Amino acid sequence: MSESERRGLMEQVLPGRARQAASFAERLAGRDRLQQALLPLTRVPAGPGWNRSELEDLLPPGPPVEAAVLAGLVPRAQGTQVLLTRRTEALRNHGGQVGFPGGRMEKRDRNPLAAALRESDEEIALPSQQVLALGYLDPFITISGFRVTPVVAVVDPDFVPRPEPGEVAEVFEVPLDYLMDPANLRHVDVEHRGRVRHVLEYTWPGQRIWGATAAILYNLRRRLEHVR
Amino acid sequence: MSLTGLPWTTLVDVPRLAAALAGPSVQVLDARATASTAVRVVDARFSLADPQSGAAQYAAGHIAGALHADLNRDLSDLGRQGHGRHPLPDSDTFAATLGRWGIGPDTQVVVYDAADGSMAAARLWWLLRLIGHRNVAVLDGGLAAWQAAGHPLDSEVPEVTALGPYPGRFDMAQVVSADEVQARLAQRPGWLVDARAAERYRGDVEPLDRVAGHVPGALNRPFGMNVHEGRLRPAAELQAELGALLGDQPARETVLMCGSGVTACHLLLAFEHAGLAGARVFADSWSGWSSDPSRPVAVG
Repeated sequence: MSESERRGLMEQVLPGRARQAASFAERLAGRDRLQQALLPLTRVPAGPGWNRSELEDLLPPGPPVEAAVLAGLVPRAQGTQVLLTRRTEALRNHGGQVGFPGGRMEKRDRNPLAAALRESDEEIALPSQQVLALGYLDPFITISGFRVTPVVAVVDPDFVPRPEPGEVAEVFEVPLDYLMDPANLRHVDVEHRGRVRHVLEYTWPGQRIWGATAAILYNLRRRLEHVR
Repeated sequence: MSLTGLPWTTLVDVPRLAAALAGPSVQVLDARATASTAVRVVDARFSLADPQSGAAQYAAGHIAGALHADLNRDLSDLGRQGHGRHPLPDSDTFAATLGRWGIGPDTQVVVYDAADGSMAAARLWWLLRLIGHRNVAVLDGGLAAWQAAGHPLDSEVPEVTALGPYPGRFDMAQVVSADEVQARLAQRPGWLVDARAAERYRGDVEPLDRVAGHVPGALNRPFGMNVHEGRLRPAAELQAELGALLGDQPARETVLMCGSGVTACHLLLAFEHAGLAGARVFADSWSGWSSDPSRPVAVG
């Protein structure tokens, strides 16, 4: 590198980049509206999970296991995309299913955001500097006994996922508009231990987006509908 | 003073500053050093590389009554070796400078730069805290926000009644040394946060220092992530994100660094604004750390 190139980088390119670090978040359409729809990051949402009453008698005994997931929104030229993963078949919990990156909270996680970021880094190598958090959704309880706090965040479109093969089989994106359209979400009946349960499912071709993940997206849609 | 909420110790916004400027106790400082004033060598092909541009911009127009502070001349002692590109000024020299600017223990100081405070208003904010002055705040959004609100600029250089040297000394317990960083290298990540751009942190490019990369175990938080449209993001958002970075360690255990101890001060401002109080700055930062070839370096 010549002296003048060196100086050019130093004086113009790099300070500009550090300042532009979060510019990916400025590209998210409707950022203000989203933020109004979400629970603020200051207060970690409490409560047993908005769907708790549907799961009476079905949950494992004892208190739920605290977990967090990252609902990542990727601002792309064609529109906002939602970042999803398909979990490796062999996994004990929710193997083979479509879900957001995330997992159980550990003691050192200061808040659900910390857990969601740590798990996203472990599962798909998402560095925290390519994530800008917007807010929380309502906690959701899974039939497997996890109380999941979703974090909605902007993810840098330059991020290149590197799935951890032991946990994630595939990383893919689905348009937010599609997932926010009521016409694409349906109720299906599934049998669980001899009982029929209603669960939500998207009609997205190729991947089955249902259950907790569909419910979290439905929660986001309901919250957006309540923003004036 | 309830109207304006004085004293201000982290940020002050344009309306509050504008409302208070009529008062006699507010001394505004113009710290609009550009990145280029970090180095005095001038290459005319890059207009930003004019080391006088901070002073020139000040001369062309500033908030009425503002003084000018120069990063290289007033906020650094470039003669000290082995402490990176912007070594701390001598404590007594800085105390004399403050006196010359008419700043005493009771003065409310407001510092600003061109926009987000990173170059180099936050550095001056930090130095004032270091010498024991608490009533100092950075103008949120800087001169850009001031002008966007329709406030005029003034080109008159104010005459200031000089005071004696500021009665204080740098609290060096708040300044982290390379030895302390070295001693904590084995600690679990979360205690050291680097504010540089991701490319420099990873070591993809290092135009300034002899080695590219970062201190092993340092986390990366480019200071620009704390800024939205030139202003610091809401405290709640920053508290959640910066807190997540620290894990279960308290902020007062945290050390902040950057290239040369300038934007790390901006990261400190974000921490304090977020209510994560007591973090400290590794003033030598990467330029000091990497000047000693025996020190370990991580890349990627």
